[in-house]
Amino acid sequence: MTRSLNPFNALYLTESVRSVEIPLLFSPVLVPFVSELYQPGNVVIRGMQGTGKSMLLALLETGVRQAFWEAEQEGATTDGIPRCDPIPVENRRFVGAAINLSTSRATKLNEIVASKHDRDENIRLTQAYFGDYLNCWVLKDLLSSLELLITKAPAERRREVGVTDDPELLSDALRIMADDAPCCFLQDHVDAVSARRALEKRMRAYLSLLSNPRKSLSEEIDETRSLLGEPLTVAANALRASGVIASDVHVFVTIDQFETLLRQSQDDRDDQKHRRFVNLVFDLLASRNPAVSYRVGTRPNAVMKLSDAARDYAEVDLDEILQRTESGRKKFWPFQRVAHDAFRRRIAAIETPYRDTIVSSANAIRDVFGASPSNHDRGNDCASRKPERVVKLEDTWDEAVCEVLESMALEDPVSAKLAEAWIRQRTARGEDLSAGNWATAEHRPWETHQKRWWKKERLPQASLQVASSNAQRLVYYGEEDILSLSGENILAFICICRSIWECDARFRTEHSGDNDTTQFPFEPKQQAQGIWEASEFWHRKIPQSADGDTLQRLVDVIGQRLNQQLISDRAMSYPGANGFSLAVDDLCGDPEIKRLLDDATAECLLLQRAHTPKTKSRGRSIKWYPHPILAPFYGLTVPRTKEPLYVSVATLRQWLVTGSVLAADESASNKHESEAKSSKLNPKDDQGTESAPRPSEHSTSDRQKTFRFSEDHDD
Amino acid sequence: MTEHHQIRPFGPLEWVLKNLRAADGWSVIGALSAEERCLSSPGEVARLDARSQIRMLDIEIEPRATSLHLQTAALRKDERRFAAQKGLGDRLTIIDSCRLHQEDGAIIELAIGLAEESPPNVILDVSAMPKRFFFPILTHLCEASQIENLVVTNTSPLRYGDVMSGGWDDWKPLPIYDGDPFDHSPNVTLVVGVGYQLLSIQQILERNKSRTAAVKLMLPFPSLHPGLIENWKFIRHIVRQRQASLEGRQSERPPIERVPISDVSLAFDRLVRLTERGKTRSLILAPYGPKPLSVAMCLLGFARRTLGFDDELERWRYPTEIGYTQPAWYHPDYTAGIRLTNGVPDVAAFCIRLKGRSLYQLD
Repeated sequence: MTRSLNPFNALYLTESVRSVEIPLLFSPVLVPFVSELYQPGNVVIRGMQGTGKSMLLALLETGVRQAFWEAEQEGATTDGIPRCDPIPVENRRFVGAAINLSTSRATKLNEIVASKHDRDENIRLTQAYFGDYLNCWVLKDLLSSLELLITKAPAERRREVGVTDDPELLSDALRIMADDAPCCFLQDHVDAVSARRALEKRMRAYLSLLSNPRKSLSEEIDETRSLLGEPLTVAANALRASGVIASDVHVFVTIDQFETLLRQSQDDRDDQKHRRFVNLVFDLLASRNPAVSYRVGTRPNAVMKLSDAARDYAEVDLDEILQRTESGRKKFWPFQRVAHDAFRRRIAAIETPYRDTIVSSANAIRDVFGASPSNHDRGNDCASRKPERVVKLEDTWDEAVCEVLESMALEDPVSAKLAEAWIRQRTARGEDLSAGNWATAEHRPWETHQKRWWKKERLPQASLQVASSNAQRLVYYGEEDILSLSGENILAFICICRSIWECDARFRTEHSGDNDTTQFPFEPKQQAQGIWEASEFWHRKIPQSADGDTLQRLVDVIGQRLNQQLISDRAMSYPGANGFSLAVDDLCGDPEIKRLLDDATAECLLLQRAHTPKTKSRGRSIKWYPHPILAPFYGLTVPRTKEPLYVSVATLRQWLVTGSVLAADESASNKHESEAKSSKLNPKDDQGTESAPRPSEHSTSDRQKTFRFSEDHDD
Repeated sequence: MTEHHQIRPFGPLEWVLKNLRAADGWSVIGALSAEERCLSSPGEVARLDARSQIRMLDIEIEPRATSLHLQTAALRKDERRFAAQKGLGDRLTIIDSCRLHQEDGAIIELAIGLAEESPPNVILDVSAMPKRFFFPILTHLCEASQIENLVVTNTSPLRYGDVMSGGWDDWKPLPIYDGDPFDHSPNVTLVVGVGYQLLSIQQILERNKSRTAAVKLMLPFPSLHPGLIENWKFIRHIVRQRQASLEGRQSERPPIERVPISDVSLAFDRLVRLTERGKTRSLILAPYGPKPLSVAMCLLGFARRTLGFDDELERWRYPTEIGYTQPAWYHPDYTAGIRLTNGVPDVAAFCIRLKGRSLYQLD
């Protein structure tokens, strides 16, 4: 194996993998869980980044379907990895068309100033442009899809889908469309090529308004503009009437990047720069049009303001699906099955000596990564040999107690840490601390059956404190750790696998010069390093997302606060403080905080879970955890088994203002600054001396870069 | 020296103005900001040319809850405004009602208006002007036929701040340079100006997944410590993304072209060389590097526009997408002070058009 043959190098299937590779790499495990996507009716698919939304929607694209059909035609493969069309036969009677709102420039039409002095008129006109543009784009894509199906799809598949093999029928359909008002601009375009060209020309007319605001649309366009969705309905009916598609074949339209539009609409002001288009799409979903079904992807917490949600659309929540357990057990829950299948497929795609062994394995992840250590062993592996660096003894404690703890710290540091916590809890309650009752191993209360949950909940925190007091990081390796750290997110899982593969290859190259002898399971040391690098990578890539610098500061503040809490809580009173809880009523009163938490959840930086608080008076509550893949980076525990840290929104806001996430009131410092200085037009007025650089008055988080640039930079 | 041996004078502002001897006086277009350097070029022109007129954009940044230091930045900008009014008197015209995130259409309209109202000798000061504004303004100044002499100025600050900006938006084309969403040519070239703010080339190349994308990097040189380290982090980030996306198909590292940090002419020539004499069919430019490199990218975009528009198909023959991830806020200490040379502000001036002849054209 060489580094260039890392099977996990391409993180995203949709962005960097060619269509022909998708049949092998795409894991169909989730398809049965999202069957609504492949049935008539509007569907909203929710999920955080990396849950596979785009890939599931890509299965509706004719190009991707064609790739599966071609792979099927190539016949059976020897690796045992199925490459057949993952959509069940009974759900294949549809034709797909799509628009990516960003790359098509549809959302950029809000940059047109259609009416300089009338804001409402400007909104109305740009909405009309958007609707017409989207209609044209989707219609053009629909025609391309049909041409592909008619000319390239295998006859059997064509019959399965319900599409004709006669290209002439498409011309008939176009004639029928052109007779109907919403598609009248297609008159004189009797074949698909000509129609597509006309549609493109129409769209270019809108785009030309973007770069030249003094240009106007032709009268013909103004007079033939149709409402969003209307021409698509006409087209779907015409295709059925002409026999291009059978009467029971559905038309599915995917509106990609709707979630970006929704996110951007949160910053809208009175001009409704993005909301004006969001509302149009909502109207489209609410139209309950039987001729065409729409699919949109959204973020986990996006609010869909529709008239009657239950009737307007079906909702598929990928996060919820991936979190499902069977009978409360996490063995073979959907995420685990996706991870196993995706893992085997990635390995199968690369020619390596170990390929066949792993692909044919029933438990490939276990074979490659082995078992994970227990929390107890994990902590002990990082412990200092000096008792004083394991336990902190108080002067008020009995000497015998201290001796027992020191002795335990030498033998079993994690147990000593648990003992310290137990003593602190007892002391706080004023209970007897004499060592006689618990000094021997068989009498330790936390080892009893009754206290097994007390111990289990505190073991990860004890291990973390042991490692921290020795200035070490907890090490993670093995199947269980990798799946836990992936946090039900396939992108995080692939990212961890990629890093481990890289680390192993680097290690073998450095130490033996021969990197072709991969040994499984990988060495725990290389795995631990790989997981650390994956965690670091996940943190490093945060700024790539929109408003990523803000999100990075947000997660930094939360991660650092929780780490401090877990480390400083020597009594281990809050072992669940790797997350925090807010009351829903409290949160609703602060939309800025809510928006930040929603954004971080959508970007897979935080995990959000509903939960029942320990006191009823708190009301409905939600808890958040930094995504488990960030746990190594921030030094947090991974299991989410106990009550989280309860905080108020006011406290969280204070954290965020202190951490430069939210703006502070600058008026006080401004007043001082204003009084202190006077501005000059030209530095030469100041006797030619250089203007003194201003001291930086802002506070930055510890992890923010603090370098100073020495050459020119752009803004 | 370029392949077509074009001489494009540039140097200290005072030297350039002295040699150009504009008979009718200069008109400066600049932008007010919290940065001290925003007044250097206008101030210098006012000192050197008694007939000069100054137009300054006062660009408002709309506050968000996560926009930091906005009040301080606004206060500083007001101080600059006051200082400009005091120092320049009735030679100054301040253009209000500009908003950083206003519609492209409104910004282009502003650019057209500025170009139309410009006298024959114009200086565009990009020192503190956001790209969303200076790209369309420079483009329309280049298009304005009445302009005889066009000069771009940029003032070097004493130093840059620890934190410069934040709240970066998604990648979006700058006004005028939207590229062509219908372009199906098999190859696309992405030239990235190496800066400090990491960007996701994945986001840029997503729409081009079915095409062969050549990524080329332009590294500012000399790049000194610690900016050098940030530049190389940026490069490593791009290289890793690129290798990941090309697994099994193409493995070469994106070529790195070094460009001087303060030479628009050479940067333009390097760009032309990297893009098949400027005529690669599909081109995406990512101006993340120093200002002179961004100016060169704008000039290349404009030069490609001059190669023609196909009226029948209603499209540019050589479409150019120039995009950016626009910050929502700039730190008041984005830069501090002004670099002085012999007691004079270090204002670099680049001649773009002389005696009605554009110096930045493609063969």
